[in-house]
Amino acid sequence: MVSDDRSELDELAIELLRLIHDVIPWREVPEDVKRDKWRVLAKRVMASSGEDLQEFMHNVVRGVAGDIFYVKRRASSEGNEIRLLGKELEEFLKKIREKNVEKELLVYVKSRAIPLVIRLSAKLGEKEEEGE
Amino acid sequence: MLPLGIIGRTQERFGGIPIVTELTQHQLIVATVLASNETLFYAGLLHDILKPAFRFVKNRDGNWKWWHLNYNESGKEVPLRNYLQNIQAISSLNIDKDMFVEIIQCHHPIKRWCRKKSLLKHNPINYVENKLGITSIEATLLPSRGLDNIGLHVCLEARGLNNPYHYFVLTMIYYGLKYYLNKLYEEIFSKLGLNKLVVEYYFGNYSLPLIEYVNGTLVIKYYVNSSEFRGLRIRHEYSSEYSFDMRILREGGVGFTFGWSDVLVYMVPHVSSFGYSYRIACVIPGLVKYDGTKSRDDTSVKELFKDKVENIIYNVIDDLESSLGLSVGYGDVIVKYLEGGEEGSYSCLFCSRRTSYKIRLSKTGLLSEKFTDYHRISGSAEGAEISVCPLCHLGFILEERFRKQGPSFLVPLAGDTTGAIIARDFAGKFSSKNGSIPVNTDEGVILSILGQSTLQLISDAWYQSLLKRTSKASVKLPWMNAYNIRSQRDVDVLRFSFLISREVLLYPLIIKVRPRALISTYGGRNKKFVLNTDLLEGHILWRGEEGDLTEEQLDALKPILREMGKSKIGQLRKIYSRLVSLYGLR
Repeated sequence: MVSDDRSELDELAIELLRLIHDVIPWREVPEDVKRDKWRVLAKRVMASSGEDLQEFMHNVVRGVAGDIFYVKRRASSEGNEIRLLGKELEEFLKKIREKNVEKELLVYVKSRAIPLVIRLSAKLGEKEEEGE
Repeated sequence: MLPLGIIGRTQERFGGIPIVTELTQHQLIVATVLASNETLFYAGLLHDILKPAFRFVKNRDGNWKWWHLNYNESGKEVPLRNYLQNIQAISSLNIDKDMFVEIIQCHHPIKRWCRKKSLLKHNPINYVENKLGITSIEATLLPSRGLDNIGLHVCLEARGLNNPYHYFVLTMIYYGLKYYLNKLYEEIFSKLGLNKLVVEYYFGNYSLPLIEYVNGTLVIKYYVNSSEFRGLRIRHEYSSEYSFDMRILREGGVGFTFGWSDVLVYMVPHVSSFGYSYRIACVIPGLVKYDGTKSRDDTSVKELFKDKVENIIYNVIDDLESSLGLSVGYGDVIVKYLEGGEEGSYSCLFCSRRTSYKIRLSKTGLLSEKFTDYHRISGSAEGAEISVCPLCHLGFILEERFRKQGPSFLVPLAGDTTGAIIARDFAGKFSSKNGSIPVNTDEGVILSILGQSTLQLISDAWYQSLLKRTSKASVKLPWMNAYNIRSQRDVDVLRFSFLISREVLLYPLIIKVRPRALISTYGGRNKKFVLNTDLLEGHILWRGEEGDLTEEQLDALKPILREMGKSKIGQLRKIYSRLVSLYGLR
């Protein structure tokens, strides 16, 4: 009702979390982490830091997945589409820099980690909730 | 969004800033003052029955008028009388039908529609609304005339409150009074043939209201002129059941149950030479009599009511003390202290008031090993021996009982309005034709006595969206409820969307609120939640173990209401469950 002009930032925040979520190799993380993936993700987003967005993402992913894996460039299949996550990440980061909202986005995501993760979980739906 | 009802009135002054007043509740207040006989009572209850048509007309002088004394029938304006005379249900009531019709028809001084011209000058409804002026409680927090002179009885005036315990005890007494006064109002209304009032609002095309009366239940069906909310249905039930509640109706729509005193009893802040003061006030039932020519206040009714209220206050204090098993029975001393009194040679540790009661404070006394909030002790002894005054003592022990492990106790307080807009269809209809609209939300909404009470119910409703009542509680008081976090299966679309959005529809007004409450588990289960109220209260709506539910967090969640679209209830409940789990809500 009371409008704010943060809808663009909000969309970018969801996009960022979606990328972080997709980069994490959920199949390979321990079962207890997988079972509680949304809580773990929210906590890591709240607790992680970084000089810039890239470092922040890196820290979140490493925080969840440990040393198993982080920011692996690979192609993953989603339906019939082949996703190039590395490329998507690069494009996302480029977009953020162009818009000059990197710091603002970081603050926004960290301070609203729980609601954003809840929304992401709702968007991704049942299939991925099970840990893919 | 929580659809609560429709606005009851507007005001021309102050640029049309809206008032948080619900139509049925406005009519109920007027009816209560007129509850000296059936004819007056039902006239009061139905006097604004045409308002849901929302026929606002701009006069030549540029002022908006809300037409509700006439309606359009086959392209011709006809008086409200034509409709009232044909209501079958009215005939079942024990009333003087002609008088009833004319009192309503002539309650505003508009000669054109009034047959009995003497009623233009001496109309009981107009008397109550304007001469007595009770409706000023809808338009301001500080009426220019004393509350005692506008049809209210000031049950208790608490002066010079200087400690959270004072406010806590006062609030507990307020809720106790509401509980018992509800029974008193019920007795009076039953004698007039009304056991239950059911009001239903159907949004869509306007048509004249339908009225039924069966076995003491009066049912009014209003058809509200609104395209934007077409299909919406809101049902109010007012009865002797003192339990404000809301639910999704099986047949569609939203239902609320109210006690009579949810509308008729208020706690309002007041500034006096004593500093912070509060008044608990209530509508005097049957105060105004009408002898066929003139309206007058019946002072004997006032006196009788005053005596009954006084007894009720002592009953409430008795209930409070007996629920705690207090060895010291303070009784009327509590009232004296609330009114600003103090006496004795001891000084209260918390508020510095003088007291003649010696309360043991040692480690085996009030300040046992569990007490750690020494930094919150602010009393000044000034040479006197330290003790605790009756108000702080009662508050302290109540707080101890409530903060024990288990369900949360909740005392809803009036929420704040943080935003207001006007429904699109309403704004569009008037601005396209007249270039302006009858209600202007640019400067928010006006705070008022009735508005405070409505905002308190809204706080209650918000917390009920998150919490569910439980009977397993450490303190048994009929007017206090204990709650647990609502389980997944008890969540529905209504509760979930209101929990997130905090928006309320009082058509055409849509307000956003910041709910407020005293919550026994506010600072964690072991925190002294009353003593630390000033530290704990703020923008946090509910504390979680992992994160707090704040307005900012809920605003960030709000897009989910749109993103979910028409998700199935199963998915909604799953999201709710995730919310509870991720924030660690207990």
